[in-house]
Amino acid sequence: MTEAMALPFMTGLLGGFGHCAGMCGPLVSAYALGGPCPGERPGIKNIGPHVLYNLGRITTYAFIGAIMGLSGSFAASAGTLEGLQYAVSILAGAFMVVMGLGIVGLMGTGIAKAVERQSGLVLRAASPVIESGSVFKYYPLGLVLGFLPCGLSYSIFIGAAASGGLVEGMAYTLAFGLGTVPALLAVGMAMGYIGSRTRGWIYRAGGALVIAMGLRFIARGIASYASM
Amino acid sequence: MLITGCTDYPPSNAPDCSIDRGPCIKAARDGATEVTFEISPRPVRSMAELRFSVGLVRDGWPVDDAALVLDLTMPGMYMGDNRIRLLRSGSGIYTGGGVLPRCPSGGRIWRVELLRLSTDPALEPVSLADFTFEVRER
Repeated sequence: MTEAMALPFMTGLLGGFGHCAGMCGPLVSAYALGGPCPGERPGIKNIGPHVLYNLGRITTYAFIGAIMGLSGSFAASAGTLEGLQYAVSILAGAFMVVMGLGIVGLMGTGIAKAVERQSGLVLRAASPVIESGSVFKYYPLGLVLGFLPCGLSYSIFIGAAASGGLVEGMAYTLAFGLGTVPALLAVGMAMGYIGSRTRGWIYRAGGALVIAMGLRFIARGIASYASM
Repeated sequence: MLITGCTDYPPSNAPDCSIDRGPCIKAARDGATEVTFEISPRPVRSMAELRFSVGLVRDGWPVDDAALVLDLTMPGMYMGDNRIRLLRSGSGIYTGGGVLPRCPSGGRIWRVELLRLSTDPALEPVSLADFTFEVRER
């Protein structure tokens, strides 16, 4: 690894545990807790969804890095991406609320139906992914959620814009994305383990937390739209 | 951090520089140098191209031989590495371009530390001064 790539990789590695695990951890928890079937034994085979999710996320980072590197201006490129990012924030929030309601056992109730009604458009758009039984759904999920607005990734995109070109920008953000994998993989595997071993109040509390964080993602996305 | 995001700050991280009102002036840690810090255009907004300017005056004379870097951090939230190398653009004046990324959790307080690089790369940079300021969202 060259010295130029070491900086974004280390930023991802350190920031992954200090930042991403806290900010994106609930999102990973949403699909990890909701994913495993009750009674299914946790194991290495359950790593598939997390690897695919992270691959999708990193693909998006590489795509954004390429755009930043090509344009050479973070501010100009970020301006065109912002609207999409806030939409993804609302989508991610709706996804987390729906998954959380499923975890706490409220899916199919009036609350769940109200949420589905209020966020019908974004959820309908995402339903082929969310409701698919295939493990490969986690790759497009990662692709979309890689667009989530995030201060740490913004800093990396600034570096990508200054990297000097398309390939350099892509490599810069790719190195960052790879650095973030261990933390999010650890969160996902830990939550998958909890999800498959506990069906009691800890599991439901996790679901309630996922709902709360989902509502926060939605509020943040709406507030950001309002400030544009 | 999980719940609060980047919106809670200890009192020590309260802004000490009203960057939208104009340049902020402070004595450097060496006690003999006066540091002037300014960002343009004003009002200072996140996600926009900004020009950072630092003026150094020591014992009434401009300092023209400094190698300076600005290290930008957000108190309470790890925002990655954001360093701006300043180049001399006038007598005792150093400038550089950069961007302050937006914190989606709502944080708008930034801390900038002015570092003076040594001619010996083995030596650590020396912190001259720091300023804490608030930016507006775009």
